[in-house]
Amino acid sequence: MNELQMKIVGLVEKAGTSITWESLMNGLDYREQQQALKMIRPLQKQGIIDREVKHDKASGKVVLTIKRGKTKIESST
Amino acid sequence: MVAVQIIYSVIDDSNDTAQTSLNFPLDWTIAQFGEFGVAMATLLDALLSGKVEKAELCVGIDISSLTSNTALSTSDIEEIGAFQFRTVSGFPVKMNLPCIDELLVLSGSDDLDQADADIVAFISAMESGIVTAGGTITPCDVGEDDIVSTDFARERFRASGQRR
Repeated sequence: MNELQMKIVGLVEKAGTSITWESLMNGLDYREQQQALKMIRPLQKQGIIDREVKHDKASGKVVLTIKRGKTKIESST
Repeated sequence: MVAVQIIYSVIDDSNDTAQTSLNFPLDWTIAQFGEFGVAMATLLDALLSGKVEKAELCVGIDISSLTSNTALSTSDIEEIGAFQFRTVSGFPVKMNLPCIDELLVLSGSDDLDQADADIVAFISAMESGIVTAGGTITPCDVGEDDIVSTDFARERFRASGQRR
């Protein structure tokens, strides 16, 4: 896992079990933001991170949530 | 063979129209497809400057709940959001979104902003599906192969297919 991936996992864990995309972006700088999606895909494949897209009918928006996956990792932060 | 297709029609400020579509195996109920269809229309509405005019799955899907779904004065169906996805077996799946909002294009580039919440939600919906009451629905290619990744998301221009 590279530095950015560890940072993303750390932000998810810091938030609890899940974090909205907007909140995740707030924790990253511009360059990291542009790389985040690419970094999340392999983490999702390994089961470390999960992505959930859900339609929130109350707000009328579709929200992406980054969630902790089923695979646990050794804490690196 | 794909059993079901959801077709979205988009109209711009000049009343020009274009369509984009998604393919699915017939693994869900009409109600589930309706829920997915509204959610995906909501994503497109967030991405496009044109108006998502209608969504069809043999019968129409009610998208009247969409908010701010109007054709902006800057909308143009010749302005395309070109996406290329990849299936689990490595097959490419192209999808062109007419009337892509030019505010989503990174400055100094033709790449769409993959940090933008709406772009990422759309890509994630294509790769990982949208959660519905009966389960998560994920788009596939014409051979029912699941979409799992994205090759590129860019702005492109092309001649409209229809004039009024």
